[in-house]
Amino acid sequence: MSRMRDPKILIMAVAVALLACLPLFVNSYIVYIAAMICINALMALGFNFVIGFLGQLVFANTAFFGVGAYAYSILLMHVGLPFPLALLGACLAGGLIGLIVGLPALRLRGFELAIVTLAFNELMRWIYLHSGSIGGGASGMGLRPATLFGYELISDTSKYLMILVVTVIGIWMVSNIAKSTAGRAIVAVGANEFAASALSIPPARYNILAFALSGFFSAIAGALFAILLGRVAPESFGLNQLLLGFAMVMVGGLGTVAGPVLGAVLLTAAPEFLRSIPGAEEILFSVLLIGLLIFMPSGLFGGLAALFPSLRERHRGKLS
Amino acid sequence: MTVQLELDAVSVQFAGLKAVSDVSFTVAKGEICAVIGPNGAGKSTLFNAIGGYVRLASGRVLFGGEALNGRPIHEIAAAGVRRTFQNGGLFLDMTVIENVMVGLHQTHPIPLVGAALALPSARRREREAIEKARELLALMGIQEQEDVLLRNLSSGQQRMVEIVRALASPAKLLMLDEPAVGLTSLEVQRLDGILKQLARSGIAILLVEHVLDLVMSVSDKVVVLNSGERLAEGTPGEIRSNPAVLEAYLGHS
Repeated sequence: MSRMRDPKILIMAVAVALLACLPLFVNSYIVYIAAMICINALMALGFNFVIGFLGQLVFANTAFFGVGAYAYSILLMHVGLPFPLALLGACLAGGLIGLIVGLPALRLRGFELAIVTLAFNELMRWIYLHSGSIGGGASGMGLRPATLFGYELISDTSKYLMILVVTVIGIWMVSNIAKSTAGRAIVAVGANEFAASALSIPPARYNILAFALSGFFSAIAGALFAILLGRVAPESFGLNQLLLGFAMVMVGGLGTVAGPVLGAVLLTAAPEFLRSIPGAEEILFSVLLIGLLIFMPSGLFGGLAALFPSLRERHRGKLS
Repeated sequence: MTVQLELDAVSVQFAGLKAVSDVSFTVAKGEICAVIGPNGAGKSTLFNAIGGYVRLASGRVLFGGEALNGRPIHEIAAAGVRRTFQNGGLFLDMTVIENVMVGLHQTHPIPLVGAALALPSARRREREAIEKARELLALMGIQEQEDVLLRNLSSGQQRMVEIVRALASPAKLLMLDEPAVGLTSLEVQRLDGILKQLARSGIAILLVEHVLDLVMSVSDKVVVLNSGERLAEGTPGEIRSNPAVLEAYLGHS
């Protein structure tokens, strides 16, 4: 009951309720963009586990995102799992791929790690392209609609509502983890591996855990992306997607939960307003990134939290 | 007195150069042992050798009779060897209480899945961790600052937080690397009292320090290093009047 008295929880509940009512007021194109914002928010949060909380230059997240999309598609179409199980399987596949990428990353740092993980992205894209009948190769594959309680999620509204629910749960989980033993340990290992070890924290375990969590949450986003599009294809998982995710985390604010979400909202919505001006989207991206890195290196949310200390996110739970 | 830490002919080499050579001494439970010596004498290297940060070229580090060398840092820490760093050991973008809670990793772990789903058991354990952290901060009288970011504290207050954090999980040996640097004389006095109190509770303390007043006041035993070798060992009084020490360390006086 004490939770209900927390004003922040109340504000969140009202915000989610309003977002759920969105399809009543806007056309289906806007609903589609709103669903994309949700997906990108989860993707950016997944990315943030390694580049934000752990503070490593890792570029494998489009691969994790793609693995989520492909694992979901394969589990749904080839294995014949129902939609919720296929979604869960995709998350676990993403977590597993994250863990596997995390192992060699223990020995690499800085630019080497960046290059190796970048290469891993391209390797995964090569695999999608040569996936033959399993993944549909270059043309990808179409998916049957997700079915929930006998109801097919075909309309943009029904997909959006499902995606919104999964996203809210995902953000809630990430924020819980950030305030837990694991969240504190990942941030501590990222900040100073020796100081963390001196407190009996095994750095290797939390390095790998950060990668696995990154894979897990990125893969949820990937699976939702496949559901929204109704198909999966290699072209969705190229360098553009990687840059987009990177920009969202950097613009919003590294190492926070609200930052990547804020970045996802801005960088998903803004280009839609600039569609009519050719080239404006790219210019906006570049200017935002350069400007922020110079004037607000901790991102928009980091800058806001510096102005309003009460916004600062904690790495601890509540007592009440 | 029971021996907590025993160094048995410990040597550390860097690129063929002996940073520490053949150093032996013991620290008993509840004993405060200071390691002094000129810059480059190998004091910090000795700490790093005990904590597992550098490899021993030869010799053994025994902790409660068990060999520590070759084990990873976090295992040595889990066995009860805790330390503070000369600088950079604190998480400056975390608050005071968050820093201490990182130190509770060993005694108050919360399983990941339970934490992610905010299960009642995980919430309860997190509450216990917060209460424990507050209790520890209260012991040092810094509970008022629990929500302050570390970077906004004075260096004296930061040092107190680092000691609280190091002791958050059961410590048998506390190694302090120049804890008095940047402290006001009032804070040095408080540190003096805290160290004596910790020793009374049975913790062995190893102290590297340049502030000799503190060293002479708190130490039961002083080990003098010079060029990586043990030059002398004795009570503060004996060290003060040792001619070799005066020659090498304090200069002719």
